[in-house]
Order: sequence, then C-alpha cells, then structure tokens
Amino acid sequence: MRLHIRHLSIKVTTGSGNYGVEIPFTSGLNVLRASNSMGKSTAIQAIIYGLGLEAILSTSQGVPFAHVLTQYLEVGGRDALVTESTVFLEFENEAGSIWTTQRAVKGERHPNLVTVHEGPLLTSGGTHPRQDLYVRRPGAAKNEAGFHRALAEFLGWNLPEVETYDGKLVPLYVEAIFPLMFVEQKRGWSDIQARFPTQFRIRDVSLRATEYLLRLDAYEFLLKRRSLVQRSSELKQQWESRVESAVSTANGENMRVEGIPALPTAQWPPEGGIRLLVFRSGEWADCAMIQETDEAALARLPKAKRIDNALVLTTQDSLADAEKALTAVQFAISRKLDTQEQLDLEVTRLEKRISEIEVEVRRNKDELVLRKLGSQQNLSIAESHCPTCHQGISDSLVSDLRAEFMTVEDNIAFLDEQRKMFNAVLERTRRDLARVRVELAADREESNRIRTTIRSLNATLTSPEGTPSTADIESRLTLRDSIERRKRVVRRVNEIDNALAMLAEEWSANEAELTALPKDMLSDSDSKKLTYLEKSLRSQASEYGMSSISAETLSINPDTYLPNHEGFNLAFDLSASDLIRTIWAYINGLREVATQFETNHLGLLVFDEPKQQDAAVESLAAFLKRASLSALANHQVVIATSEPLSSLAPMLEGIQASLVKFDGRVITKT
Amino acid sequence: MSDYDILDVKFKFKKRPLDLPGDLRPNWRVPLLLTMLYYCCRGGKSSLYKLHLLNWTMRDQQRQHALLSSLTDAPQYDGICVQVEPSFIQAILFAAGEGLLERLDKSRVKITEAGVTFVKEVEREDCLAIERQFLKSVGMKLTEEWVTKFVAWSKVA
Repeated sequence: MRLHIRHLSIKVTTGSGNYGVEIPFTSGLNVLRASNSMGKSTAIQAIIYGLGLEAILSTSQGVPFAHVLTQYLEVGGRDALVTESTVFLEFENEAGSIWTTQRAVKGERHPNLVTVHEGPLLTSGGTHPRQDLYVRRPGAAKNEAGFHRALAEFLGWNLPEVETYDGKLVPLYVEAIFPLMFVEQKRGWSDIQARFPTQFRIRDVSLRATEYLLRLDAYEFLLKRRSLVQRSSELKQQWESRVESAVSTANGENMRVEGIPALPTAQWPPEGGIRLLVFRSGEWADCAMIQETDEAALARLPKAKRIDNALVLTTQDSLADAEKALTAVQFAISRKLDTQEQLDLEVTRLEKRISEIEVEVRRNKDELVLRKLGSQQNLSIAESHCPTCHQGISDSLVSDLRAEFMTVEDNIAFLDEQRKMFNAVLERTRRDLARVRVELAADREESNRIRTTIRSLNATLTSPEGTPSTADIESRLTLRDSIERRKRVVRRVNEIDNALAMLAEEWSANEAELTALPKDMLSDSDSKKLTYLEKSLRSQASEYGMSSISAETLSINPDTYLPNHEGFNLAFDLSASDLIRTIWAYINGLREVATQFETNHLGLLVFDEPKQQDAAVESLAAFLKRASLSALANHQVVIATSEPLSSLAPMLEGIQASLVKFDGRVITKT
Repeated sequence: MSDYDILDVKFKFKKRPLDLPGDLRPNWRVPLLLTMLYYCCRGGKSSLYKLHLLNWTMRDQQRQHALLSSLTDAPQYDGICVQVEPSFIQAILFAAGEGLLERLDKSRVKITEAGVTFVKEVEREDCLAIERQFLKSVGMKLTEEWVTKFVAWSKVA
C-alpha cells in the first residue's frame, strides 16, 4: 500500500487578479516552512481537502478553510474578494498510477464534487480521462459515484465492515483511518485518541482503524469469535427444544426420560446413556424390560375362552383380585396427591421467598446509591452518625439494639448467596413435582385400566354360557395398545437421541474452535507487529528526549494498541511536551512497522506544526532526522512548521529532506 | 465416640454481623419518607398519622392495592389498618435532625428545601423506582380529610 503526494496546487481568483501556490513533494521528508498565520495550515488542509478527508478536521459540513480561500485575501492592506478558489492534488499509488483531484472551495462548482483526472495533470499537464465523483453525501463510501469508494480502490484498500453503535454494519470509512497518518493542528495534538471522527458512530473506531492499518488478524478473530458464540447459543437453543420435546413425549405416555443433559455436551451418548422409564406397580422400571414382559404376557394370553362353570369361578377370583388392586392404586393416588400438594405449596413458598429476597437486594442496592447521594448532601446518617447527638448509629433504625449489622455490600453478597441456594432448592423441588405428576398420571391410567377390567369381568359373569369371555378379549386389547404406545415413544426418543448426537458433535467442534482462538485475540504476526511498534516507540521516545518518564517503561497495550506507561493511560503521567513526543513516536512508529511487515499503511504521514508545547529544538531535530529515514522505505513524511529558518536549517543539515520555504504568505500573486 | 467427646474441644465464639432488612437502614428509609412527603402531600406538609398510614403500605403489594382501591368517593376501609412502627419514627427523627423536614406542630411535619433537592437527586439516580411509582399513583388523592374520616371510622369500628 502506498500513497505518495506529488504536487499540490491552490488557485484563487479575486477581483484584483489571480493568486495561488504550487508545492512539489518528493519521497522522504518534506518540510514546509512559513511563519505563523501565513497560510501553512491552509496548505495542509488543502491536502486533506483534496483527498476529501475534511471530516477529520471537524464534524461540521462547511468547507474547512480560512477566509483566504473563501472570502477575501489581504493585498497590500486592502481586501480582495475571492470569487473562485480550487484545490488540485496530484498523488500516486503503489502500482505507480497517478491521479489528480480537482475540488472547488468557492465558485460555481459544488464543493462536494471531486473531479478525478486519471493522470499527472499538475506535473506533466495534458488531458486525461476524468470522472466526477462526490463526497460528504450519504453513500460516498459505497456508491459507484462516491469518491471514497474510488479512492479506497485506487489505494488498494479493501475496507472491512464494522459495527456501529446501533448494531448496523458499515464499511470502515477512510476518514476513520487517516487520523493515524495525518495529525492536524487544531485537535491533533491534544491526545493520541482525540482525533478519530465520531460522527460515523463506529463502535471502537480507534481499535478497528489501527487493526486495519497494521493489518492485524485481531479483527478477524473478533468476528470469528462473535459468530462462534452466536452459533453456540443457537445450538444451545436447539438442544433445549429437543430435550423439552423428549421429556414431553415421554410424560405424555406417563413415562420419563432420564440421563439427557439439560445443556449441550460434547460427549455423546452421555455417561450412563439415555433411559426411558415406565411407572409400574409403584416403581419406575426400565421401559425395554417392561416391553419385553408385556410382549411375553401378550403371547402367553390364551385365546378367549368360552364361558362355562370353571371359567365363572376363576373370573370371580380375578374380580376379587382386581378390586383389591384398584383399592391399592387409589390409595397410592391419594397419597401422591398429598405429596403433590405439599410440593406445590413448597414451590409457591420458595418463589415467594425468592421474590422477597429480590426486593431486599433491590433495596440494598438502592441504599448503596442513596448513601452516596446522602453524603453528597452532607447528611450525618450517610456517615453512620446521628444528626442530633453525633453518636454512631450502627447503620440501623432499630436504635436500642446493640447488635452489629452487616455493611450494605456484605448484606447484598449475603442475600445473593441466599438467592442462589433458594433457587437451587426450587429447581430440585420443581423436578420432584414434575416426577410426581407423571407418577400420578400413570397411577390414574392404571386405575382406569383396572376399572375397565372389572367391567369386562362383570360382563363375562353376566354373559350367557357358551359366548367368548369379554375379559379375555379386553385384556388382550389393552395390553397390545399400551405396548404400541410405548413403542411410539421409544421411536420418537430414538430420533431425538440421534438429533442430539449430531448437535453434540457440532457443539464440540464449535467449542474446540472457540478454545483454539488465541487468548489475547492476537496472532503470532500481530504480536510481532506490536512488539516492533513498541520497540520503535521506545527508541524514538528516548531519541526525542522524553523526560517525565523513562522511555523504557513505555509499552503498547495489546487491548487498545495504544502506548501505555506501566499499564496506565499515558495522559495522566506525561508532561505536555512529552505527550507531543509520544504522538510523534506513535504515529511514526505505525509507519515504521510498515517498513518491516505487510500492512495497509500508506507510507505517508502529514504533521501540521509538530512543534507544540515548546518542545525543545533538539527534540524536533531528532524527530526530523528519524522522519527523514522514511525515504529509505520509499515513504513520505510531510511536516509543516513555523520554526524559524535560523534553527530549522541546521536541523536539516546532513539529512535527506526537501525544504519548501515561504518568506511571506503562502498564497501569493501568480 | 460419644457426643461428649465431640463436644470436648475448646469453644470459641465469634461475633458476626447480622443481616439487616433494607427498610431498616436509615439511608434507605429517610429518602423514602421524603419521597412520600414530596409526592403525596400537598405543600409537602403532612400529619404524622398519614405518614404512618403510607409507611404501612410500603410492606407489600396487597396493602398498596387496598389503599389504592379505597381512594374513591365511597371508600372501603376494610383491609386497611395502621401500625405505628418505631423504626419509622426513628427515620422521621433522623430526617428532622438532618434538616430535611421540619416539625410544624406536635403532629405535623413539612419537607424543607434541602429535602426537596434530595428527593430530586434520588429520582435522577433512579433510586426507589418501584416505591416512587406507587407513591405517585397515590398522589394527592390521599388527603388529610380522607385520613381524618378513616381515623373516625377506625374509632367507631
């Protein structure tokens, strides 16, 4: 990636003639020198304007220039009205293609229009294919006719999509990246972070911009993790709905599934396997076993007998047995109803208790804030003193108790523990309740079955001799039916078992990918780049004469990619002039990373008046020297300064630099 | 091993702080009292009896419902009874001591400027949100006149 500025031209038409300036640029260090308020910043702003990047100067929609380009020029003590002014900027990309942008500041052409001449219009003249593109309108970054889209393409930038504060995806706007390469004078020197445009509402814009500029894998990791986390929550949902479906299928036939983990697991089948249980004669038995027994019983059932005296006798015995069995089941039902009622009551009680605890927690949390508010109002009770007698009040309204009470923080922790415990008990109780409900339903079904048997036995007793036994037919039908119904449940649960097996596999793959992501979310090459940046930062800081802290204690925070001092934000520890040195070192350090690694850095830096806060002359000299090394990597550093020529000239001696000096105003008569 | 063996070790008692319900903490109760005066009392003035009545409703929603449904032209006082809670009296005394409310006479108090400022601060921080919501719904409907009638009714009953 490379952006190389070749030539800047500003043309101003006034009532008293034409004015303007031509500034050529070379590779390496370029120094523009002019005295204060002579138009140096105008030249820097023109570069920014020519690239359509004025959003990094201010959030306002207006044209970012001083009056020289918009209203009037001072000519020999008089004002000459500006009728038209235009900025031309010629620049080159990595592949050697050259563009010249033409953009009106004032005049008939709309300032949002950027005309791109696809060739070196300023340095070689001639005519070139041209297209009119626009900026500062919605779509400038995405639309075909948007200049920023074209610029990104020209630069070879393939901009990633990033998230805004309202969760939308937008391209990482070029204006969000340039603050890491261009430092303008008004806001640029206040803090390393101060310069990112906020109007695009991009979440963590500085992180995203730095990641893109250094071509870090971190953002990829972030996206990957987000999609894995999302997938994992989808899997969890699918899992829960399958489990729910298995449970309700089984409960619907008065059966119970056991052994399905409520939350996704990697291991399948789970330890102990999935068991289907049937409630039979007062206890839970394995479904397969019951099926086997019932099928054997069905096979053993003789053909329906014809009624005769012997059969009547056995039928009477059977009837007595059935009635006994019915009594037993009904007794079991009534006991279970009691249990159910108790458990129901217990659940209600627990729920009430938990909601009371929640009210208490809320009160205590309010109390924390209220106490703070109270102490802002200088209340004695906020300091645990009685407002009247100024004695300690042990923080309670129960004045005559000498007890010692928990602090509010302890009380909240205590309540949280209680809530956890009650929730666990509640969950347990609900499980028990669900089981009792199934058992009750099974018992009721059993009692219905016995009743049916009793009816058919009675029918057998009252039927005429020689007809087939109703009881025999009935019991065969009932048995067959219940075997069939259980088979259906088994089939359905098997299906769910298979589905869960697949989910478990996917879950374990997903979890494995999640754990495989690096802990600090940085790849090896990311770490190397950041380490290089840190080294560069330290060596520059010491060259530039950082004084308030030792340069060796500077580091790059892997979470923010920003310089840190012993783990703290720099702004607290640094003197104003050291902050300026750090900004030089950081911005130039980002560029130096691009000399060693593959990045998206354009190899271009623009600094407007780097000598802020009376940074020492020696510091500036060291900075210029270091910046001049940019020529070796075919990079470009543009610096505008008002440093007097007498001190600037010696600084530039012996280093490779191009000095453009203006004796008076930058914009002069042409 | 008998129980006595287990017990035959040195006992050590350590005094541990007790947990305390939030409504017994002065820093919670005083702002609540002020919120009552601010939202339910005309001119921020109230009889102590009315404050005790409101205080009684703060315990649970049933009581709040009973009060709200009785604030009509033909009030039903059943389900309302007032307890005088010592800790609430203490809260009133603290509030008076802090200069957040002043005593008008033996049985009436009035919220002060400082008290009103405090109530607004509390609302800005969104504290006591649920309690305030209820007190707002009671509003000025709970008049001293209503309270007087209720007291008369209680005495007859």
